[in-house]
Amino acid sequence: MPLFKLEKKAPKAPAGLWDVVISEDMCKACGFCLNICPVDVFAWRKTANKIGWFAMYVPHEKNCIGCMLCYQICPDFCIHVGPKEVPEPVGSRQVSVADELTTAAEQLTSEEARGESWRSYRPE
Amino acid sequence: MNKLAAKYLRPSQIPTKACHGCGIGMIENWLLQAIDELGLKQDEVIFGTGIGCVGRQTFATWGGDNFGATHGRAIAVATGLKVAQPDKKYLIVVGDGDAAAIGTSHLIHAARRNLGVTVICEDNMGYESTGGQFSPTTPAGYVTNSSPYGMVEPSFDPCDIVKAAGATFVAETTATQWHQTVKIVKKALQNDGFSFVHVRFPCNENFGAYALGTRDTLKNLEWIWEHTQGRTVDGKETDFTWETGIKHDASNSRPEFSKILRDMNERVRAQMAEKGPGDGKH
Amino acid sequence: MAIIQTGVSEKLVAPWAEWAERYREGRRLLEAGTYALTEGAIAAGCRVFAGYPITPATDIAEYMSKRLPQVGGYYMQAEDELAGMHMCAGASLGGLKAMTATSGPGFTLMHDAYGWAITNEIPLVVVDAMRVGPISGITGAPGQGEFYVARYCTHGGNIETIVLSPNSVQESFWLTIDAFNLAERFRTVVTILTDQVISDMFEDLFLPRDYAELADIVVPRRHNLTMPFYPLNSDAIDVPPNIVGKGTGVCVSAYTHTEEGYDIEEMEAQWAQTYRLVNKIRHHREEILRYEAVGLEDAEVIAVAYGAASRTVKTGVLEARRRGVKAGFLRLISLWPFADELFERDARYLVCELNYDGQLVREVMRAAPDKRKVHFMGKSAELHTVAEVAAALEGVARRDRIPELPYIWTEVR
Repeated sequence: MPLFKLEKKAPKAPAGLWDVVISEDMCKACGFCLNICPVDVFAWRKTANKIGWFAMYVPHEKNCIGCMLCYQICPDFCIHVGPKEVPEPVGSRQVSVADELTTAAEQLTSEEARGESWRSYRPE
Repeated sequence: MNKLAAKYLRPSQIPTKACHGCGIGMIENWLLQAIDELGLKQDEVIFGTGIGCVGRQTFATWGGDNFGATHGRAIAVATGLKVAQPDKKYLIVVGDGDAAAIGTSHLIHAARRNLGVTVICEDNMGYESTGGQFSPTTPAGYVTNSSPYGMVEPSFDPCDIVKAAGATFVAETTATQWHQTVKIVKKALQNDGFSFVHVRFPCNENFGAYALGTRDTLKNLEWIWEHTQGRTVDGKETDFTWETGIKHDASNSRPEFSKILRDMNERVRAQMAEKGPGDGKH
Repeated sequence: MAIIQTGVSEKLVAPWAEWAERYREGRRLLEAGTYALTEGAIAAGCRVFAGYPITPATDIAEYMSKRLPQVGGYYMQAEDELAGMHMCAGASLGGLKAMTATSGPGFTLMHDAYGWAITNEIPLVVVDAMRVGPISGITGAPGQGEFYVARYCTHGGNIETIVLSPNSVQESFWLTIDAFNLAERFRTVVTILTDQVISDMFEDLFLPRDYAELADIVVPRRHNLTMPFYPLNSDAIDVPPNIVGKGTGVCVSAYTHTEEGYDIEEMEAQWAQTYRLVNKIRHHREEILRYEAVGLEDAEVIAVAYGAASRTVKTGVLEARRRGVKAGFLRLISLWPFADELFERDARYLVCELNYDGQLVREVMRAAPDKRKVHFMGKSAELHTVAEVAAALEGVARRDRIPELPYIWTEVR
């Protein structure tokens, strides 16, 4: 049984119940959160963060099902997942897999995300 | 940011010096969860580390009192500290070099004495901080910086040693067993005696590069996953499997070391009170 | 028994010259140096001993194992000397005064722990009862081979150390209290270099009636609860030691560190840390200077010694005086920081030490105005005899050389 799920599923639960917050300037682009997430929540930034990595960000917070795997696996304390204080109204549109899935072409592999980032790192 | 990190860690030391994809930060996250679920405050827990990746990367990340001892001697320092400050919880977070190589003598004697600390031996199967040489826990045959023809020395599991020396709580997990590790560390912290938790984790920069042939963070964590469950991701059997879980639980069954000393002091002083001051001669 | 009338001045520069006058009520015992060292530590408030038995310091461990539970302290028998000193460092970090005792073979194992304690400004007292070497040497014979090792007690340089040496059982008692006081005031490790003779011999020992009366002279343990935990770029002393376990958030590190205690890799930080570790001792050397001097005002040849060697050397000096030689005697009690100021006289020096390779003599050669006037009289495994010392003093005073004496080493190069 694989650890990482490269094919993302659509969430079955109602959408918009979970807060997912990444401190992007602490992210070192390991890729664990994106690859262990069963649904489509994360994607890579295309520009480097303050410590020189192409960080992860949260384009589709609505898809989060609250499994907390990303929170457990992040090695850099970047991720906070918690129930939203005020959930968005029930029955809001479920995200269509076809419409909103970040395409494979837009994904960077872990190697590419690591690629040139050390060159752009400058200590403050 | 992770709320527990904001609650317990030292802001100036985050982001840590760890490499990207390093398992040390993951394990520290689980330690914070265990500490939080037990309701412990920052000034009730003292962190001790050693030298090497686990020592350097966890050192000073804890916001409360912490110490980074010389290589292999964190447990010796903890012995003295526990006697002086017995009411705190001690988390001694050391690597496989610190615990199973240079500091094994102190590990054995702390287990023998049933010192009331929890040792988390975070094992990346080599001396990764110095570049990736093999260690006493490197699996057989693997190529490392100092075993270019394959690891020929037999390796061992520090859990067996600590159990034989008398530890009252011994457990092993890996970096893909987050919930289990949190539960096990909670139990370990509640043992008023010597607890040993052995957590294997990936190193993609050095062990991954030389032993596994890839620095890819995902592949390295998958290697840990495969050897935890005994099957590769495409269904074949792995070359070996780690036995994980609680290996020995005799929590709170033996008196703790600093308590033994305090009890002896009480006995001696009661005797002195009975017999009078005496002539002071030895 | 005739008492030698000296007719020359005698001077002792040490705090216990005054302490012995203040505390005159107590018990007189016939006891060994190790017993006096133990009682001195207990009197100073030491409550933790962690060590490994080794001749001739074994008795200190045994006495401590008996005495510490009586005063609410903790005796821990470590698996080796390195663990022992680390345990003491941990206990001192936790707020208890701690001490360990060893001999040469164990002392060299403690280098790692020395560095850790010194760089983190942890107060500790370490007793090294030297014996002849190298390595195990002769178990039951005195030596003075760790003069430099006690100063250069760890790797990496960039430190200064405090080393003291007693020469009698009574002095061992007071000097140990003094060592603990210096450790508290300077937040460092103080080494007491004694030897097999002083440790094992039995002599008259006076102990004050009640150690609580010594509260005036004992520096108590205080706790530093605020930043900066390590006042870098400062040479201040009397800074309270740090404590782990009071929620101050202190970091104790093996690396070059910041004021908070975590590691930092910058040249400025290295300078600031070294400035503190070296200058807190160098800039306050007058607080540490202790010595004994006899007949220096008109001396043409000055015998220099410390520890057990100084006992017979002093008598040898008095004998030489009786023979008409204008001999003086200088006994170093504080060995490090080395007191260059004591060697400003342009006289001849006869350095008597219990080793053959010459250690103290090198420092005297460096400090004296003319190193050609510094003579070395080394002997190993036995103390210098009074006859040998008197003959050497005569030789140096009258013919500028030490006469041929069996088993006396005179070469330094």
